[in-house]
Amino acid sequence: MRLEAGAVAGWFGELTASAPPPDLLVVAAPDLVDRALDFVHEMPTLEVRDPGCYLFFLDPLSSTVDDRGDDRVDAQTLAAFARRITISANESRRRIVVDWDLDNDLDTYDSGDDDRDEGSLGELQASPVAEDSFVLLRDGRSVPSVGPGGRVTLEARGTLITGTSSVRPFVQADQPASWVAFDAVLDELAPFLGIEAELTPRFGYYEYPWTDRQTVIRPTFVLVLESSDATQYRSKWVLTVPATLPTGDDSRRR
Amino acid sequence: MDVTVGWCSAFDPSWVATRLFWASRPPALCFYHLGQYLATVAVPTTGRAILDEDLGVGGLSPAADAAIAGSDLVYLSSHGRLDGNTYRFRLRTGEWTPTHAPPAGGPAVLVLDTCDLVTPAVTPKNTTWRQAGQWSPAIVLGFSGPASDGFDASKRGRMFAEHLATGLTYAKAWFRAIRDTQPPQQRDKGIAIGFGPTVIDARHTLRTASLTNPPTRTVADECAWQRR
Repeated sequence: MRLEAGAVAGWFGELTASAPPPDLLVVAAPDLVDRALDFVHEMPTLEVRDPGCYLFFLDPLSSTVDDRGDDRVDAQTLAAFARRITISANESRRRIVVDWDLDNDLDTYDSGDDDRDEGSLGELQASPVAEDSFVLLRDGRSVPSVGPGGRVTLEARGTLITGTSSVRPFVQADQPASWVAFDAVLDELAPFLGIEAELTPRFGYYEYPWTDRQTVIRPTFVLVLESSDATQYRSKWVLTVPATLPTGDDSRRR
Repeated sequence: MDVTVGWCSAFDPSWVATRLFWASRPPALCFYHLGQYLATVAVPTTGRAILDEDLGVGGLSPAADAAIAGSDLVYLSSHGRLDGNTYRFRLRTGEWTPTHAPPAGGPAVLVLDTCDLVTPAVTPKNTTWRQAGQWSPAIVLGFSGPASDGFDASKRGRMFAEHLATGLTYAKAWFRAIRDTQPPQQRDKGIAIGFGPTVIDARHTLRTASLTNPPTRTVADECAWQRR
């Protein structure tokens, strides 16, 4: 399908007409995962990271979640930790989808005990369907997290669980804002108009990966374009456009 | 450790291959952060960059060929496609086929940050990645299907280095790098392919190769792979 401005105009109009824009979120202490799991060990780093953002490991045998004495972490243990993090997040105005997988084959495969001639290392046991994480606002609205951050990942690593957290604690800014004008979205799309591509628009809070510094979490439009022209190289672009402007900034006001 | 990174971001003619806005970032970020880590653990490191000029007209320049042949780890970014059962890496003009007559010397780990190292419907053992008697990297990392070009998605190069530094295997570090830089709803599917004289060897390489357990260049007689 040839990409035209109309592909996103209807979606934009409906979204921005249905409700006022959500507030900015200002990143603040304390830290969700630390608070939820007192046996989490943050991996040391020389870099300064945002609160709630780090690589960590934890020892399931030292927790109360699973004391069965089994050496290797199994799917049940991972799921139990994931539930615990999710419950704690609910108390912090978050709904966190914990993304975990258990690489049984890659971890436990012992050369010589398996005569398969197929090279594939098999399917992973993984957390159920990848759903959205949400931020719960004071007015009761749930706004999805659409960036790479705003989530916790867990992975079994022998007898330990390792993971990353990019869940920044926040306070809701008390600063009126308005939606940006559609022109801002069009400007971002301009280089792609006319090409054969499928467009998937999304809206929500955009949090950065755990390595990045972020002081304000903004409502953002995320436009995913995937080329559909079989004569070209396949391409997939991810465009982001800040969705709101502070009141007083009329430059891009809707 | 000898590391070469490279990227091709603009193509001729432009209507055949659209411009990649962020192609330079994954390899550059990988090199910068891997270099920082290797410096802290006092591993002597050399680095080379090959840019659009060397990923040139219908083939690699002699300088690019030499850089790739003299490296332990090569991380390249551009467009890519599976042409039948052969992977092709897009150059500024024309294509490079890394499985065509690979030399005995060359990288043990090759990261091809492009679309379609293989496609989801194709198994690597049915492609030219597996060729009896051919020299091959021990591990090739890439995507099974599309690879996103976006500012945050391009941070996968940094994440790859970060996870390697924690001791993860190349395969796991690659999968985690993709996972940490994209939300689950739009996540690209990574693939790691290990090679060796037997499937057992290929699996072992995929399962164990890391910065502290460096793989060596091998043959592409057999392969093992994982997608995530």
